[in-house]
Amino acid sequence: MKRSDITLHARHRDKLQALLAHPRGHEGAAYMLLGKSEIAQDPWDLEPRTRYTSYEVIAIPQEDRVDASDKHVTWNTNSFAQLCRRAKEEGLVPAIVHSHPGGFDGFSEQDDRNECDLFTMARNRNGEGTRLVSVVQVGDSLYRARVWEDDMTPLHCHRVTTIGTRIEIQSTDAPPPSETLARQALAFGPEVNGLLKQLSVAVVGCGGTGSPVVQLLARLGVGHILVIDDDVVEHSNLNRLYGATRKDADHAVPKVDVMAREVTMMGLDIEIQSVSGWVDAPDIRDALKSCDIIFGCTDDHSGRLYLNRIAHFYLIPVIDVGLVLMPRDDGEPGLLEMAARVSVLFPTSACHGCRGTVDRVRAREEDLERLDPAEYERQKTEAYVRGAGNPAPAVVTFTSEAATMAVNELLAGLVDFRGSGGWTWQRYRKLDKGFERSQAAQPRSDCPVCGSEEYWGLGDVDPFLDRIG
Amino acid sequence: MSLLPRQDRRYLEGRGITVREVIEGGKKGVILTGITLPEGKYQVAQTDILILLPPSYPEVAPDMFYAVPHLKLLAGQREPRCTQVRETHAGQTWQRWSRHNNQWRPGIDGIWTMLKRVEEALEVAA
Repeated sequence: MKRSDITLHARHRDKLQALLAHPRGHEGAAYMLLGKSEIAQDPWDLEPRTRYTSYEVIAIPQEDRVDASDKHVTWNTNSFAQLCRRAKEEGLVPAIVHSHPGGFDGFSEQDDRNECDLFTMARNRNGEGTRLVSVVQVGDSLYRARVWEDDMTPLHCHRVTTIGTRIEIQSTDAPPPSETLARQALAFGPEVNGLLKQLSVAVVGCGGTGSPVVQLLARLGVGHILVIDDDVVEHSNLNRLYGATRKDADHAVPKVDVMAREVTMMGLDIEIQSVSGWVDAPDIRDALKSCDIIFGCTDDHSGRLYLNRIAHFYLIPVIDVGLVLMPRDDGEPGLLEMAARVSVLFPTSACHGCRGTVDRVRAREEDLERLDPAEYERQKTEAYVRGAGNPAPAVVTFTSEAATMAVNELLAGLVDFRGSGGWTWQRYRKLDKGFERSQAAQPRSDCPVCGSEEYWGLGDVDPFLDRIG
Repeated sequence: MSLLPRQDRRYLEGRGITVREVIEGGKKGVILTGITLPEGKYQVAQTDILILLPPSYPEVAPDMFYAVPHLKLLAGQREPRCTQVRETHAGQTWQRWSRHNNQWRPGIDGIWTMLKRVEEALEVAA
């Protein structure tokens, strides 16, 4: 059976809770519009699946409300027709949400009949291929969902994930506890291991920061890891690339193969998949869209801009790692600045562009260098593009420290070990001075990615991510 | 399948400009056909303009632009400044207008800004 799951943005979950609340415990109802992410082949189970992402929560107009009690809710369907119209025009999926305040965890026979009617109505209006998602809020915070599609039997969603400054997973197939991770459970409680086991995490870039990130994720017990990189091991990487050997460098083994080999050898029951290639290649999209979290461990500005959009279109948090090791400019050895930065990119927070953590001109030059190296060299001699210059300094202890900061940010999204309720949007650690500060940045109102909600949770669009690609 | 972001498509449709999308190897771009040239300035009245679009567009700027036919100023019978480089795209040899573009406001600028830059470059060419 085709699997599907739903990601709710926390601001939508909050709005739903407010709309569905009733002082006398009556059932409530609301509408949603969802984006859709069609995954032709999941990288781990190789099956097609669909993920729905919350795009908008819509209140049912007061005049359409007919009746409600603690056992039922009824409303007129004029506004449902409106919802279907918008869904068709904007390429979204309509959803109905209702509550079971008494705590009944499931869909009743009455729900089956009502939803079947609504689905028929939606399909008559919007034609073949129409889908209808139904979400039920059990009590005041548990969500279950199913999808009406094609025939008259709805498909259950195996998971509803809510993401804001934390990741909350509500799943119908939670894994059994792991003995290997028992001591981690002593620190954080038993739930965290189950959450980690259910996660699919991508690591983009397997160099100085990416390779320790992969090691740490595997040893934390992340169930599914995807590594993406288009580079091979070189001798100059050996001092900081975890797991890489001289033999790997002699044979120019792809970095992703080294990552997969090392994780497999740990014997920790981690499923690791590797893809060698550039992160925005069409065949890598499916794999990225399948993930719950992405670590951006590249120093490539064009790649950062791309992941920035993925985070917003698909509601997949991107934890981006940056290392600033700036050589002195007076010819003397040493560094002017040394710092590690970890940023979490996700809707409501500022994006890479608004934080100033990407250089867009540099991004264009990187694209040109990759797509047309001859033209890039020519423009370099004509001084239209800047040369890449000398190799950047790298120190294994600094790259590893940045990696640890990043993976701890993932943990902060799962357990509240800092007591501050979720992750910090941006941490900047001065490696020479031994202090750290969290940095705030506001989305610019004219920013196409984070300044408006137009793209948040929109899912698949043509062209992909509404950019050239 | 479409190549251009939605706002660009809406703008070009609105202006009634005929666009041909070209994809060649990894490179993508649009040819804006029949762009009217300033009267009496060039050897022809209209030109096709090619704009190559980097993968991160519309967040990053397109850079230079390209013309067919190769434009010559009537005054002096020569090519304008910085248009001597030739590049082959979509089966044609284009005249590269080396007008560097590092001024770009993501979210505000789009194909309309680029078209404005092209028109201005054609207007002031010497």
